[in-house]
Amino acid sequence: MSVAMRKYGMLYVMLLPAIVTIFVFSYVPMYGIVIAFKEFWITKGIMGSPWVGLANFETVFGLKKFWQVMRNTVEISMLRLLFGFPAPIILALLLNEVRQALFKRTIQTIVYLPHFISWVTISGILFVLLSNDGLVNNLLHALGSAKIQFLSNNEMFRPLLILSALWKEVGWGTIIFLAAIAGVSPELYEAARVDGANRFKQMLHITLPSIAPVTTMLLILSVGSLMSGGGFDQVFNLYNPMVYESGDIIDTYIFRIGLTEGRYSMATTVGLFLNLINLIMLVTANKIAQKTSGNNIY
Amino acid sequence: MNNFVRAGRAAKARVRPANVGASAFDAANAIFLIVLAIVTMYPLWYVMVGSLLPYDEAIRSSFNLYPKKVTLDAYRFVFGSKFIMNGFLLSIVVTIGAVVYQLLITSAAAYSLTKRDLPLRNAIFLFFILTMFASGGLIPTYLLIKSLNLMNNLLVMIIPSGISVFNLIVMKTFIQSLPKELEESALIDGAGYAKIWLRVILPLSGPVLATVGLFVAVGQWNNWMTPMIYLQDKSLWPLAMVLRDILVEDNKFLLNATVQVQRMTLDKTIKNAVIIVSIVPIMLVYPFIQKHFAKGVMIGAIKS
Repeated sequence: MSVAMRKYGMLYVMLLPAIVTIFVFSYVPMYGIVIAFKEFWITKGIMGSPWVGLANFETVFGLKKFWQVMRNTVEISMLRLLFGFPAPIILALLLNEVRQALFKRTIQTIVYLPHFISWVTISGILFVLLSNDGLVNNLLHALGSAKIQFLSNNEMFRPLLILSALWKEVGWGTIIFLAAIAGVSPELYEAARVDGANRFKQMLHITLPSIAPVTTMLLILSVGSLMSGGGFDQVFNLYNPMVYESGDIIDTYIFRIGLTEGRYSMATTVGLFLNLINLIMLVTANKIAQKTSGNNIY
Repeated sequence: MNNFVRAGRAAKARVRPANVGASAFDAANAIFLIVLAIVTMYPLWYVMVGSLLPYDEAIRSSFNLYPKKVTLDAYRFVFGSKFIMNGFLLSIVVTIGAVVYQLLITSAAAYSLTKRDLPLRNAIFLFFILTMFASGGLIPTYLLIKSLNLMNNLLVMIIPSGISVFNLIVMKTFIQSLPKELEESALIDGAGYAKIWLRVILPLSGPVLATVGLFVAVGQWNNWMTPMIYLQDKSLWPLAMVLRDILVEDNKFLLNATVQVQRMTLDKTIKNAVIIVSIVPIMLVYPFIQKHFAKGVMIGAIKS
């Protein structure tokens, strides 16, 4: 046994469970991607199923439904970014202007809370609020307008996704910006005050530029993960066949054709296509982020 | 949290112009934030009121600012339901199991990776990092779990997600920041790495273990997707999946209830109670969560 092995052997043993877990549950499934190029038969297994070249891709790209969910995914992700990205920055700026520490902490405690509630529970709450005899429809009725079937209405579904995601995450999203704001040197504000800048101008010319590096970095990374936005939990618990047209996204589509309909090869093909897009976007975002900040995100 | 305190001080240190514009802004800002807080809390309050209403009140009106009459029938039903209580117990078991398992293997790996002169260290680190960029996807993972006979086995909640690369980085960063002297003196005393990890590193890792442990615990408590895919046997369902069955799938579990319960308590009242029951455990640990999660987010952010 070499000296190095005697010295470091224990460290490798301590790494082993982690390495084995990652190997088995992250790398082995990557091998399973080959079924995107095969006609998968459960009885024959991954190895024994016949190769079909790019036939699965041809089938998928020929599906109208596939392009519809692609477009939905892009559009919904863009909307999320458009509303979900600036909202926490604005809220952080407003919270930063609060002088009473207790008031500020109370508001923070309240708006952080929904982050920890799962989408299953939030869907439950939304069904209660938006059902035919729920709060919102009774208010509408009382105001003399017609009731709206929010959860089966294609025009309402996307606003519902965006608003409920804002409700859940806007408060939590402020943490990073508040910390960045806390790092701004008080001398900058003093200097601005001497120059006669009011609070709005201080916010505009000192706070915002000071948190610009963090903002830029987060924006780049958010754009990079646009297609892996993690909307599955939300959409899957809120949608139903009547809003597939506006709300069905790639992740929910893969789930349905794969696990509900059992079309393994096709679902894997769509998944592989999505993974490739994600990989390119993430690597590009990482590269740009490195250039912007001068260091690797890891 | 220190950062928020500092932010508060920084704001206080700033000028307080006594002009009308500024105080109008302060007032508007305070009103906006209060409205936001109400909008955040009201849905939860509405559900709670709804869960306490007796039958005749519940069918009379769906808008109640506060419950004029209170009954705990819905909660009695929820806590009397075997399906829900079984899920509650399973969730506790699975959450504790996952937290202990993950903390142990993550911490051991993180500590090993802090040894800069460990041969192949960079290659191993890259081996972990790459999985943040690429994955096999849903179906290949499903086929693997199936071939490993982990279907309808509670271990599927714990083993496959045994390590998260993000948490590994958070822990590694923390261990790197620990003072080297303690470890070195233990090395001189002839202790091996395993012993140092167990006797020196783990006891010093309290804050990061709490942070990562809470990440894992909340994720596991809310995890409905793993059981949905891999546990067909309803008696193995943790609470999150039971909730999904009741709230999202609208499972008519009431059909199994006694006629009396059906007459007295409305389907929607019980759903409200189920929602509250699912939120209360999170509310109970929320003070700890808020403190530690904010830190965890910051550690993650400093890395990025």
